[in-house]
Amino acid sequence: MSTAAPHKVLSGSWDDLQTAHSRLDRLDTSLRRRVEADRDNVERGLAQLVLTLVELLRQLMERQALRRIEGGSLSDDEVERLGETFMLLEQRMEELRETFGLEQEDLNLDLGPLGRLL
Amino acid sequence: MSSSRDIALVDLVDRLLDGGVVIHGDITLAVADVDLLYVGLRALVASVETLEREHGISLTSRGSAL
Amino acid sequence: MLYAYAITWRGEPPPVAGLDGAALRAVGDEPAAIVSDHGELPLRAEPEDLWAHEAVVEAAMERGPVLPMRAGTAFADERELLDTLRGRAGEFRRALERVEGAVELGIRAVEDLEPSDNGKPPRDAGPGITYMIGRLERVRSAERVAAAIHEPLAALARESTWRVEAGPPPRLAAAYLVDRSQVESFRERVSELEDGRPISIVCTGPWPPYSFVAEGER
Repeated sequence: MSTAAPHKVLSGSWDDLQTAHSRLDRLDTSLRRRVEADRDNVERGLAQLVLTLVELLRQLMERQALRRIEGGSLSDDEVERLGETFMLLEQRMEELRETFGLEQEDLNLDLGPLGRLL
Repeated sequence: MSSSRDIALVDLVDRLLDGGVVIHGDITLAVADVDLLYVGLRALVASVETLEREHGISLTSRGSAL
Repeated sequence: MLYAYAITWRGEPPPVAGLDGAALRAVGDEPAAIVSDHGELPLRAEPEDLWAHEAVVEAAMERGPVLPMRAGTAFADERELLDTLRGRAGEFRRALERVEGAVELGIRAVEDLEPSDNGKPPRDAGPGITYMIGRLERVRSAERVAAAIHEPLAALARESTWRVEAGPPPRLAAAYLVDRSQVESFRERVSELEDGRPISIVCTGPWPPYSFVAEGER
């Protein structure tokens, strides 16, 4: 029995900027994890926790840097060095995530009433 | 151009993934069946928010992400 | 296992079938959970299943307020479910009261920018500066959109929540808990806000209140 998608778009349309496909992948992974409580998942869970904290710190630092740039208190040289460092950090984070098979969205933990972490 | 089916599906999956009542935490790290790390993370973020409120320090900005 | 769709006040399952054609039943009362019984998790990450799950939640919502479950929520047995319902009864009851008579509407909005609008780094800027200015511009763009449309829409809602989605391009993603009677006004307001602004808005709904089940400030 096929279920027709009920009409849910009230207004507007979009060039799909982030496909339903990648979201379905995330959901699939999330559903599998819920069912398969095995050793790999415990390790990935730990990596997820650690990387989320690292990502939180990276974003906080980047935000602080942006505020100071906006405030005009940094020299061009300092901004250049900050930018290069943050680019490098972003790259490293991507490599680490790949090592553990985690997506950017996996680092966005839900803390219930406190909302999403990132 | 996305069909409205696709647009609706994206919003549905977002809600199913990130919304709704949570019974089991995201991380299944437990010691003696107690979700220690999950609870710890909540407390950490809660204390950051308290720090901000009580000392006027802005460490996070609600609603913005990079 | 008991696969759970939503939490409701009364233990009366809606007159529709659950996933894989399984019969729905209710466990508990004030609050109750709408569930179906399966040997293994019946939800697959396929549109057909997802819309079937959603149909159960929406059918339940026609009879009263519901708190939709996150996808894939299952309980080993009735005992586990009843313990959860009792342990969090206060939280669930308060949430049901908060969402009574309201639906969730979703918004995504983006600035219609030229691709070249990536901030204005000076011509001789190094990669680091270019990177940082790019980041600044991304955040500012989404915040401009939020400033333009979130407040007026939040004014029509009981509760609201918003965030900037990374993109590219970065965009406003927001959810509003709106009285059923206000849905049409909300939709009109969205059209008004889009007119004469370089902003594209997509509005979806009505949804069960997925984004408003938790307590605490938003």
